[in-house]
Amino acid sequence: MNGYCGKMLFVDLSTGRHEVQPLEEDLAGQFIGGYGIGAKVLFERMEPGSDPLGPDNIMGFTTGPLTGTGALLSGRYTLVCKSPVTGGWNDANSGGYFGPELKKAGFDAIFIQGASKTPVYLWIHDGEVEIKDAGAIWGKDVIETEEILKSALGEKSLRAAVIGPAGEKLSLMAAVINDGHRAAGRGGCGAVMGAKKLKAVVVRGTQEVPVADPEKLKAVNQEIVDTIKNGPAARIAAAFSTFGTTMMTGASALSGDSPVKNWGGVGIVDYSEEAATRFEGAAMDPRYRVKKYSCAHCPIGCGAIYEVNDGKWPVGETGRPEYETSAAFGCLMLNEDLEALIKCNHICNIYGLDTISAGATVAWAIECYENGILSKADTGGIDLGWGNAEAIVQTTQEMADQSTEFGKTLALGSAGAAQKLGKGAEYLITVKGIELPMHDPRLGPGFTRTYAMDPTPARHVKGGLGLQHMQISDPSKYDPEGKGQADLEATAAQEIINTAGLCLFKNFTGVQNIARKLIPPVTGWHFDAEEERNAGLRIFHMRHAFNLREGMKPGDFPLPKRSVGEPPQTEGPLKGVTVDYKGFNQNFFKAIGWEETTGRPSRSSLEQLGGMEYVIDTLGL
Amino acid sequence: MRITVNFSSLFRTLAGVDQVELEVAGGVTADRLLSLLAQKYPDLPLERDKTFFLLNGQIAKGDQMIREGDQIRLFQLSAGG
Repeated sequence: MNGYCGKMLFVDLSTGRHEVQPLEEDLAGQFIGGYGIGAKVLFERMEPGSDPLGPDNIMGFTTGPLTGTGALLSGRYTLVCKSPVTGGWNDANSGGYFGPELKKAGFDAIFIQGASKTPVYLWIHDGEVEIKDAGAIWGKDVIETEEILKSALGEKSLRAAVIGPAGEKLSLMAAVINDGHRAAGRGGCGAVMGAKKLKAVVVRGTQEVPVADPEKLKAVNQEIVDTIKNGPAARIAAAFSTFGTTMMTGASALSGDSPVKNWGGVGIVDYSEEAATRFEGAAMDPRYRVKKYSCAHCPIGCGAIYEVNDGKWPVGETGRPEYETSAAFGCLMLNEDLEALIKCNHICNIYGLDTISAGATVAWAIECYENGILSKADTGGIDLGWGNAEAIVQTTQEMADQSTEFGKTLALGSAGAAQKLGKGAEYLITVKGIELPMHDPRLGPGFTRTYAMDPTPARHVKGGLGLQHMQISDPSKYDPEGKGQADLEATAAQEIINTAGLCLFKNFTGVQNIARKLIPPVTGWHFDAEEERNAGLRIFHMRHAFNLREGMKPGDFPLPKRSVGEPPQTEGPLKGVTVDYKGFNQNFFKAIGWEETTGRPSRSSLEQLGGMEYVIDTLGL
Repeated sequence: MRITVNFSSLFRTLAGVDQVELEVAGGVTADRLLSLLAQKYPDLPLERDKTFFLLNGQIAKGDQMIREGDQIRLFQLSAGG
């Protein structure tokens, strides 16, 4: 089967056994890869009600048909599991080199169930599978772990998806990190690995992934490169290649795109323009950048490696903070200290924390402290005021290593911490327990539907109208009427980008319909707009069905009032904005055919999509 | 009248300057000013639908008049990270 290894690996850590099963072409065609196949497998194999931190949770490391084929912009892999934060469906993806190496090692996906009694790691090399003792790496940070693994296995070219101490200690913000600084961050997947006592999945391989039409793939790749260099977005693509996601940090902070002061502030009022500019690549790179960083098969290379060897927080070489991190550890907490940002980013990377939830949790704690909800007795003496860089770094460190009671509390995430403390819930900016990302729906109103109604709530990388809306100032974007169908189409298209292993940042390239260009030469399939749409909706419904089976309803995902402008801001670019989030939901539900109160899809719509028989039966549609 | 336009982020990077001073006729609108800037800076992607025009801290409408002393900031946005 072209584009795939044709094999899925199933590992049971409780028994120590593993099994290889074929990936059938029907399944691949219907669910493409990544979290599409992942959702299908987990829905069929996991019992509803399973404890996310128990042995029955199944964790998948999945790739798409483009992964490892040389198709450009396709270096991502996706983790799937049940989230210990939301109690529902979870997926999170990451770039770097792990995904392509997994396929070279012989598998399209690895699914892991059970839990080991002692720390272990998986070593997968050219189709061989070993469960190995992780005693020597348990407790080590992400970078140390990779170094020890390379030395112990005698393999410098291995790739590893690793948890740090945060995952081992079951922090609900724990990420899975690969290549030292690339994170599958959201939803607590690091804690799921930690609960299984699985320190790392390590892969190395030399196998080729078969491609249906290599010459055509080469031609499409060349077209992509030509468009990036000479197309309508060439200047933006060039700037993005240099500065990455920090290209627009300043504008985001000043415009209302970035939330400010735990979503209660206004960028141009509460945050200095100087600081907003200081957190941009253009300002940071001359001081700290030592080299560029590219994920596999990426002609853009939006990453960079920084080096900080002096000052208050020397960290040595470290990944350049991405936009989400810069906003979360910047304007969200009114931090104007650049090296504090770099330090916090580094802490999150090496301990394995999601920088969005980590930054948002610190910002929540600051607001609680400023308003007398938390005292120095709670913080262990930390004077946790807005923008206090030393306090922010110390808090982040304690949250990562859980060396103090305060750190242990914050490691639960903001919602978990508020619940444990029995206070501070009024300042939470979460949906179903997970912190919102750094794009404000008051500027991009379409995000309201995505943040609330994507099966993984609070994600900016999932489909919908938010990404379009935040880029335009036309006030008609705030009217939800007639936008349900466009929301649906954008959602379906993004499902294919994510499941094929493509990168969201194709948005910066000016390349249109990239999945429809790349999937046919790799797989040999006919893959037109209708097939793309149907596969996207099938995948979206499969993830949604997982949550429905857990008993979740649309009403379980209320948005924080600040994020929708209730009440509206009284100054700044978003003055007076209240988002009709109910309208965006209603229009989407109407377009997709879901019942408004229960979120249940119609039987006929799923029959029309095909491949959903088990869902129809299980949900009794 | 003489006005100052501030560039943020991508626009600042592409223009190579933080701000530019322009001499414009009285009664110029936000849209007209954008057209003038597009002529002056052909390398800036100043598409009307994707350019945020912040006038005295508020998002301006295209037909809004510019007055001497107004604070003007132009930028584009995109998501990620």
